[in-house]
Amino acid sequence: MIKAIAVEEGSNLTTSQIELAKRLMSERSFHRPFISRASSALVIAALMTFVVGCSTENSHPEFRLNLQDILAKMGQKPEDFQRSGDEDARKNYAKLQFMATALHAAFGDPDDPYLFPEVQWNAEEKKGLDLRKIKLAAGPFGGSANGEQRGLFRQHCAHCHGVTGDGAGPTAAFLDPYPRDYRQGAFKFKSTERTAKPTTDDLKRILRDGIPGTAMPSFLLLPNDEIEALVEYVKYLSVRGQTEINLAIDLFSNDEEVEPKKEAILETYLQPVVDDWAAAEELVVRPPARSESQTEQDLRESIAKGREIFFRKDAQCTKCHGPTGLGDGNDGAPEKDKLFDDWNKEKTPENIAYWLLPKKELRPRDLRMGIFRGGRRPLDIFRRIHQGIPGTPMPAGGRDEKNPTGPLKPEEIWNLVDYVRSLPFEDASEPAQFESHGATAMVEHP
Amino acid sequence: MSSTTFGAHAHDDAHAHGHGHSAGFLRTYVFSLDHKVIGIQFLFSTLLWFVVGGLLALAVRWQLAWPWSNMPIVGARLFAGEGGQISPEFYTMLFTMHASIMIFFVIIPILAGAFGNFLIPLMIGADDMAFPTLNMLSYWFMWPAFICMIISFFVPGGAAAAGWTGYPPLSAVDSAAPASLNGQTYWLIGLIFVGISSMMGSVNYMTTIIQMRAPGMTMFRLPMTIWAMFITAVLQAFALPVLTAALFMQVLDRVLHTGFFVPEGLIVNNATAGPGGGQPLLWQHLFWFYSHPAVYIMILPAMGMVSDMISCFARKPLFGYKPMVYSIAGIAGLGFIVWGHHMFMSGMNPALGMTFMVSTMMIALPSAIKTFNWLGTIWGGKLQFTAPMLFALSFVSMFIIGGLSGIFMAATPVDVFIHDTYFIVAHIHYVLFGGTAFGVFGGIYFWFPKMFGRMMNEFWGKVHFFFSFIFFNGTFYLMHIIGAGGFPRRLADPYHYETFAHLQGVNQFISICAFGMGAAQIIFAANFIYSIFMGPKCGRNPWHANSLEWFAPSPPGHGNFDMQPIVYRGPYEYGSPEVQSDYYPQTQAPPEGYIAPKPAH
Amino acid sequence: MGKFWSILFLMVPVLGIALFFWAPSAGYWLPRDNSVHGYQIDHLFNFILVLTGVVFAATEGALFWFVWRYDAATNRDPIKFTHGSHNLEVIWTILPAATLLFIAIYQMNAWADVKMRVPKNLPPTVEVTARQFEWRLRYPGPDGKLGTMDDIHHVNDMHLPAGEEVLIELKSMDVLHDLFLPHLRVKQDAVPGMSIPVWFRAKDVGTFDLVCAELCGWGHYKMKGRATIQSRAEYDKWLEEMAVAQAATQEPEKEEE
Repeated sequence: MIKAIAVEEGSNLTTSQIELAKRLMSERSFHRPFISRASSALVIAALMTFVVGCSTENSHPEFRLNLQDILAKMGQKPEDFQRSGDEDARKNYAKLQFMATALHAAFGDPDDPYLFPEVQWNAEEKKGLDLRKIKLAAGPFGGSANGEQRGLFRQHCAHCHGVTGDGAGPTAAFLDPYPRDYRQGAFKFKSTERTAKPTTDDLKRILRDGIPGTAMPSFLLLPNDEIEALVEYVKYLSVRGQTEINLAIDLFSNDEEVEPKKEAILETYLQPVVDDWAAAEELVVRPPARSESQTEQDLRESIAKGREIFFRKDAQCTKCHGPTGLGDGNDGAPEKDKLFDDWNKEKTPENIAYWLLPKKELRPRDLRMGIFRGGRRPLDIFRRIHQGIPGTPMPAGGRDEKNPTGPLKPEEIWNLVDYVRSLPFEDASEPAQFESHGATAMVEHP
Repeated sequence: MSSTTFGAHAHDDAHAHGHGHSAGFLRTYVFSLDHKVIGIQFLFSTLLWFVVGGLLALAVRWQLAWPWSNMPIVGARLFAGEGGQISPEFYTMLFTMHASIMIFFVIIPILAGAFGNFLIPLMIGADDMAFPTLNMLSYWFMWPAFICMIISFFVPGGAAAAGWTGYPPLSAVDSAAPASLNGQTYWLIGLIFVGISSMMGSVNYMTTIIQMRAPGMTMFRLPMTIWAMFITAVLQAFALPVLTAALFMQVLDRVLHTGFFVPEGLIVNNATAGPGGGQPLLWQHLFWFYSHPAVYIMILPAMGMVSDMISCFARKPLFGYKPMVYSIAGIAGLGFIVWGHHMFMSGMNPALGMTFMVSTMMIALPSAIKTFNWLGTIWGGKLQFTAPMLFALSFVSMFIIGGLSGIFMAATPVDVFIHDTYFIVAHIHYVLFGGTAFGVFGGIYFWFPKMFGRMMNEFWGKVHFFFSFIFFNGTFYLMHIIGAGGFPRRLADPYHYETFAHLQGVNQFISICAFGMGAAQIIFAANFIYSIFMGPKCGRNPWHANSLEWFAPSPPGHGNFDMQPIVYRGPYEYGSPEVQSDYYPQTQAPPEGYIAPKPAH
Repeated sequence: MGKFWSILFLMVPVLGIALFFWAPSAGYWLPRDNSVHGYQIDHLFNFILVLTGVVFAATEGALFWFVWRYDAATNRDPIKFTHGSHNLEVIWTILPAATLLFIAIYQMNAWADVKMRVPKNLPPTVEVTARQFEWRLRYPGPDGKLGTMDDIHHVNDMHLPAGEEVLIELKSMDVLHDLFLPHLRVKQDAVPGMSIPVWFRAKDVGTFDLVCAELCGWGHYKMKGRATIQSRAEYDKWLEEMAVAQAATQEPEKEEE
């Protein structure tokens, strides 16, 4: 397959991609995709009798174009692509085709991913993506010829995160919070600075531990090479998505001409994203050491200090987490003050139809549950407070050279960490479900 | 369909029943008060649902054999973006709806609704049910249920996906299962309507059987089918209110967040699930208090029908008529105190488990007695291998397997291992498919002449039997083996567990057999439809059977009998020394001056 | 045709029993038992298998023979006109009743062992909280008590010491789940709002699948866990490492994998 970008408009675009683009542009398929799908379930089930056991026609999944960003963020409307005879619409549609072509040329498709050699893993510079690992995770579920398990992403992830990594797989609409949309390149729980990408280890950690309190389960039991393949594939999808957004911004928002050449795409839109990922490894936040020997007394004092800080005005903890830490600080807020993830905030009544998933409110963490999404080590909680949680209203609270206005000094964060960690064990914190009932009545514990 | 056959008789019997001729099309065929029309309406509806439920099962089998591969047609259409790979919640929906449809829309209504309606008045010599209007309503109350179930496929989130047992909190909390947003509520409302329908039927059957028997038809001259229907009706009347109450409670839990079954402080999918304060186990108790007796509701009528068929085609009296009746009654009684055996692993007090284990062991006894009596019936007879007889014999053969595998589950320690594995799936299908469904197929072949006045094709009936029998065993027998390997139910992709990875080959074999079994039913469908229109016409009593329905014309007109039947004896006097012919209909007067000897016990 | 059909019915017990002889040798059988109590369950399974196998062979054999012998096409004898036999009924009521009652009583002790005789004075080894769709584990920390700040949290990979009685406190956060350890012959539903004790003694070290056996939602099949049975020394070491890792305030040195 020729991996060069076709100069002629649309000539390297597969028919199915054009069809896909058309399908995605019809408004109906934007919202709650399951409705229309389920509607044909019965009819189709009735037809099945004649086909069962016969052929399995292979349908190849395609990457979905990121029309949400184009439509909702860049102010386009579906009509802008469809008005027949309209010069602008024709031009817009051509842009879309260009995008699909360019992305296909640069990234291949879900069954056969591809990367320009320039952005493939370079062991010397320690940057780029490992195409071999990506191929391991890509493709349909099943073993490959040489006995390696392929299609890992579709086996484990695609139901929720979608084949495109847009966080809108078939199961996504019903999950709270929504699965991560990799295309935005924003990841919440990481060790790096707020605006940086996560490190490979961060993603591995998320895969292994899962994200407690969300629908993201733990994949601890997968062998290491499979986890690494999946992480690489997530990075690949994220890079692809961000490249696409970068392209879309120039094409649609800035109305710029993009030269249909590999170099143009690579240097302007792709390489910077890959560089960001490589740079993240150097941007890990390393909190100042704290003394190793912490006596009970020290801990009690630290917790008490942390409690004071928790209530301090400039720390802003109680604003959302509430004075009791139950996460009820923002309850009853008027519509405009409700809390949302960044990607939910963008959804307005006017553009809601263009998004793949309905708007969903964000609830501040109930600290007394003892569930910490980003990890429960003191280190993790330190980082949550220090860098905040990007993509959410949780601010970066730590003070350092990059954030000199941060309200919290490192020692104060440590105190706060101790307080937060102690909250689940304060009296009356244990949720009722953790009490013993029923069958345990017979158990006599010492 | 039935219009040609019934049309003719509407005129024949007009003189006997003045209201017969004035009824219009709507009153005769749609909102008919005639128990036969209602029975046939039930039959057609349930057979259609049988197709739907079967297709869902085949889809389940596809996923189990080739997980995450493109499911034919369904996958590519519904999940094009995923490369035809179905979503896991779609899989949960598939098996939930398969079981729900098969149990509530096929087995229960085809036995009680179709055969119960059609046969009860005919076999006891009545001209119709005691409450014809109630009878009509019992059919039409199925329709809201049908509609609810159909709608549930189309609502956001799809149909119910909490298993046919609908265990809360999965079923009771909206956020618990992606595919049970509204589907589950529709499912519950649908089942409430099924319950209302069943209740109407059961009141009607009890009254009819007690009050409307023909002269001479004592209780102990009733055919086993009627006894089974009677006991079934009693079971339904006593068990259904509990289920209906439970269903209402779950609807309230879902709609008003009453929390009957939802404990306090539950957080599901990051959403708090109402105030709670309930107990999930309460649902299980209520549900199984109905659904265990329902297992007998799903098998007893088939047992009755099979008894009739076996006796008829063995040309020999039923062995141990009274013990058979008592054992049905025993099953009914014990059936109410064994529900806990579904809950051995549920967290119910294990001491309670022990008592349920004892009662469960004991309920195997009546089934054993019945099996021995069937064997006693064919012993020393002259067996005619007609299609209904083959199905009846295979019922006995398959029910032995289903009954014996039940003992494994009843043994509580063994249940620790095989609970919720494919061993259970094998057991339930041996009882309900190898048992009930085969019994029903036999029943259709047997009573088809009475229903439509035409015979079904015997040769294709046997071909249908042969392939069904082979593929059925190929499908379900091996499930015992994989069940012994611990293979759990309801997993969309069990093979990523090392313990079960080696079972995929067996599952592929099972699935291929299942597709074969599905294909074999096409033979039946073709034979059934063809025979309604083109089958050879038959007389009143094509099988030379004894019971009263064969005394009526085929098909019987409105009011059933053109002569008042008078009953002189039980229905199983085949090969009686009193008469020359090898059958001795219940209505045939004894020879002049004959003094009946004391009945042998 | 009667012969043909009777052979078909004969195939049921013949193939049915043959399959049960073939399956264990082909590897399709109960997974290796690694628990101290498991032999009771396996013994009962085999005992019932043999018992039902005999009844199965006898009844299906009788069915075959009657179908073969009494085919109307070949049977020249008159039918045996009988309505039943009181004596036979009594025999085939009492015999199975006694057998069933025997099985019922015979298994009681095993049941009591696995579900009723909760070990006394044994502190819980681990608290397992099932949630959609993973197993959250909590071990008592260095202070030996559950529910304190030094608890050791883990997910899906349940480490347990070999050869010792372990007590699991089984809970659920959201819906019903079921802790199923096929190799340890353990199965117990996890019910939200209840804390259910599960105890057993593992024989050998090794890793074993932990399966969710109660439908818990769309991701039910995903809820894969593992029981890692270790020697006491390794288990203690693992606990210690976990405790250290959990208290980390600094990024640990990158471990080689």
